Amino acid sequence: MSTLPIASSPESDVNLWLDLLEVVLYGLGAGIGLSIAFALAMRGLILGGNAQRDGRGLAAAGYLAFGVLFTLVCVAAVGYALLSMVHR
Amino acid sequence: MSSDLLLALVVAAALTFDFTNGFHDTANVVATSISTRALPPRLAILIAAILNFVGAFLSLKVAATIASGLVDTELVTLQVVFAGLVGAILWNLLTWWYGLPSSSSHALIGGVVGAMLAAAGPSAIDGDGILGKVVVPALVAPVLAFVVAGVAIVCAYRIIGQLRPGPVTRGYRLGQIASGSLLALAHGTNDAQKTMGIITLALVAHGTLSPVDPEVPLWVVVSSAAAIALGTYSGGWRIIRTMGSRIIKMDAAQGFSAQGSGAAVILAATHVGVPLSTTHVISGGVVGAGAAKRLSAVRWGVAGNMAVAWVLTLPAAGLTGAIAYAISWAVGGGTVGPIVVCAIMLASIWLFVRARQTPPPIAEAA
Repeated sequence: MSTLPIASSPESDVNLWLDLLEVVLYGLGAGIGLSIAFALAMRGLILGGNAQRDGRGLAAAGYLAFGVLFTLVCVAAVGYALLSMVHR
Repeated sequence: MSSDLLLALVVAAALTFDFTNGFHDTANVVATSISTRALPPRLAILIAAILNFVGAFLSLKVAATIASGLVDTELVTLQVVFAGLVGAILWNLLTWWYGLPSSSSHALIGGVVGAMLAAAGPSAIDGDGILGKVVVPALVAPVLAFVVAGVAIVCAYRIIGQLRPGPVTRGYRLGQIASGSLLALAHGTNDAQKTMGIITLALVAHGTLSPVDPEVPLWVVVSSAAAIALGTYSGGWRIIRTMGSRIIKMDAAQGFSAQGSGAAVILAATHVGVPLSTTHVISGGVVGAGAAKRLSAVRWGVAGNMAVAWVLTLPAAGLTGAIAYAISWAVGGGTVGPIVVCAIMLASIWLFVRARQTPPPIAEAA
């Protein structure tokens, strides 16, 4: 089993504010980025499906590729989150 | 022999707190998935319970940071830890009773700080540590999640606004299963470790473990994971109703934005090493996702009650922890004191079991 740190060294005030700033920036980037990527994935997949039903093959392929690309971005983001949880 | 009994009481109290943490914070993970019908209630809770259990095994790095930097750890005794746990458990039960999502971590910190104040006086408390590690993050967390979820839902509506609602709703419900699962895993990783840390500290204080680089025993990891998972599976229906439908009536896109933003903020904080409350983050995200669509969509009275509960968590759990320590001390301390205090705690659990006999409103509707 892993060893357990009993006490941690106190952080300085400067470090606290810098850490909080880092959380704000990462949180804004990841949260808004994930939401935009997921919305773009849905847009691509839904419009691709519509184009396929209408017989517009080229447009369907383009939309679906767009949707799959942003789906992969979302999957990669979740994978990165899992890795960061395991390796912290 | 008496110190063995005291250790057993502290371990039992720590696992009880872990259980209340599970059912109290279930709402953070599953409420939006249930209210947007992304998942049936029982299945949502089962998934959350399993992922909380798994999450507890992922890392042991944040364990035992509950008291360090907040109180003088050299003065912490088993009686102080026990009284702190009682304060946290009773505050969790009270806020659950009123359906108010409040931070279990802040309740535990408040309980330990209050018990420490009663035991050793103000000199044993690190005011700067409490301000920097508890108060400031508590202010930042909901505001950040509010902004992230608000901007995220506005962007999402602009991108998907012209599409037919049926496929969009189905897509976002699928997304919510992933974002909710991520939240459950993060919750298990963060919160089960607090119990592991408390039990390990108790084992060190008892002399069972060496104070130099003690290893967390396997039974501590398994029992803490099991307690939080069982608590999660019990489901805190009152708080689920508040989080899922009483603050805003949300659609699937709002639910995904709230959960996705919450997961992103929690993981960003975990990555940097700043402790943020899951409850504060998700609550801020839910209100932000609602307010960005329409300010009047948010029931500000309910949100205000939540904010009051957050402000009261530290002092109220602290006062309860201090009273628990005072009772323990007044009846002679040692092992007898915690046994008397334990009777009060068992009375609270009895109230909880009685309350569970009332059919849960969301389960009925499902």
